[in-house]
Amino acid sequence: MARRDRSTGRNTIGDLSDPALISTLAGWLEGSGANALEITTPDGGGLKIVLAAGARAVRIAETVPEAPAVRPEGHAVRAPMAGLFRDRHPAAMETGPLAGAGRALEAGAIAGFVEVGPVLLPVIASKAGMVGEIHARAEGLIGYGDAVLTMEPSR
Amino acid sequence: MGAPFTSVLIANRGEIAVRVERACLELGLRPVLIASEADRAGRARPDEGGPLAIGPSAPSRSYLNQAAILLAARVTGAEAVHPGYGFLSENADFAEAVEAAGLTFVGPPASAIRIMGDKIAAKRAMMAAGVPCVPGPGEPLPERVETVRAIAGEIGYPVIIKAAGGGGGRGMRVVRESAEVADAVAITREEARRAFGRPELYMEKFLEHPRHVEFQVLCDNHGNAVWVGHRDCSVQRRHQKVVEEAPAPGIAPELAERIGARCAEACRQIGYRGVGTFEFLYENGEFYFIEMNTRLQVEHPVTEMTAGVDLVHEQLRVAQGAVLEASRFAGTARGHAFECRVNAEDPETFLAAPGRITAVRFPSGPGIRVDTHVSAGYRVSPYYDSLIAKVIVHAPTREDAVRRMQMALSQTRIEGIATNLPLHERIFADPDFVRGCVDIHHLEKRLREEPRGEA
Repeated sequence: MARRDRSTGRNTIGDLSDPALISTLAGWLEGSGANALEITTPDGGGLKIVLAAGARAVRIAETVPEAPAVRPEGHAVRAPMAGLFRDRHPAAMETGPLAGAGRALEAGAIAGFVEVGPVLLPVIASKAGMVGEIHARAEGLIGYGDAVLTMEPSR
Repeated sequence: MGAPFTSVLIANRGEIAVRVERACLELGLRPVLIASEADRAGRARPDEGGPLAIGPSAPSRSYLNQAAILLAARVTGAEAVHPGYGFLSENADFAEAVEAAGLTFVGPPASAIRIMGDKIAAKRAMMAAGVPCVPGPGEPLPERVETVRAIAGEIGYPVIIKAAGGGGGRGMRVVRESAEVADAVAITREEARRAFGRPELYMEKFLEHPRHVEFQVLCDNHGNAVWVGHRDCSVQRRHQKVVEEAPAPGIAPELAERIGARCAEACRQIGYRGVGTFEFLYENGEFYFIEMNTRLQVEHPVTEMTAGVDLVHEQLRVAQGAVLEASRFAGTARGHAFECRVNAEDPETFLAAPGRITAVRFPSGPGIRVDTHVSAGYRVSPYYDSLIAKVIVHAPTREDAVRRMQMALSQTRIEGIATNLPLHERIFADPDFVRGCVDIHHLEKRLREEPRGEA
């Protein structure tokens, strides 16, 4: 059998209508703090998930106790899923990083993205603050719950 | 289909993930480790050789999350998925999804997993291949008592009458002679009607003191299938294996050869690939098929020790499409091996005992192998099963192997959490076990007889 060429291979995340995939993505979306996600594939496939306003709080409460302890002086902004970390939107590569050190971010601001194939999830700052240490390397592999950066509280 | 690959995502955790990782490295394959949030804690980042966290600690959101695993395979460039045991290892839909994503599933085709996952289909496939099954018609009993009596006579007493809709030990009755048939049928049918809403009954041979003996098979993608030895896993508590050994003692070699050959034939007939295990009850010199496990077993090391085979290497090679050299596996077992499953649990109440391990000392020396993922400072998580290590010994004879395990256990120390090491020491001091050939009820009987806390 011929070797698969992964760079030109077809979408390996499977069928976008798969309930398991949708449920997983919806879970990650909730964890990310964003409320909508849209995926389009080169072959014309697509998927849009929009979270209902009331649905979120419950799931977030479920994940909070599992999160590793954060530093007392700041808080970590964590990756909502495993993937490649993007410090800016892939369609706007000419712009600078969304969250450079020392930059102030408002609560709900996008600090970067995590990408797997056609899936791009935003990394959201849950609280306002100043970007402190950046842990994730642009284009580097990052795991679910790994710290992307540490935020210092704004004064 | 088998396909060459150079990287393998290990969709599991614990000792088996370590075991598969080692095999990948030995074969020059790149292992890709994944972990839940609990298992990732304190380990290196993925770019420094640590596992890629794929989800929260709850298994349903990490090790059982098919989409998360497939996305992790994509982002890491893994070309194959090894499912280990438990979790998704016998999930036909997962095997199919892996292959549909263009990756190789290190295991049998989804179709074979499906057949073996269905009790009736599995029994039918085994009978077609001449594998002996528990005698009894695979259909409901007729109304006429005379006909039922004739069926019982054909099976041979004792038989067991069971409610087709029953379960959990209810709605069943053992019948020891033909005079009891009429009453037993009437009472069980009435019970079945009332308790399960279905009066259908079926009948099987009743085995009173069976042993659990299983056959290891190995198959490639080219129609080659071999059996690689048998194991005895009769030392069980609540259907959980505690100690395993290879070979199963007291089995005539000609009988083992005949059963093993039938298992291999069944594999050829269902298009099996990879490693698998046929589980049997064994009583009075006869084997009765129970089920097939379509994956690597926890107790595979005892077969590796006595057959001189690395089953994980073989599994990976056949998944890559390699042709099995059947002649390599045609030997008799060399020596004898035991495995003790060391669990983080209270040795008296058997309740799981998660917590931080403060100190560990594992045994070492000739003929001793320890498969584990724990070391001092490791935190045993409450989220997963409590297996923390497998202590395996190999020696020229069963008697030597018993002594070697006694020594190995006495040298093992795990501090900070409770473990079942005292239970293993009791088992290896039990004269009946040391003599060999105990049945599947033996351990529970011993535990009932001996007051708790006394050796």
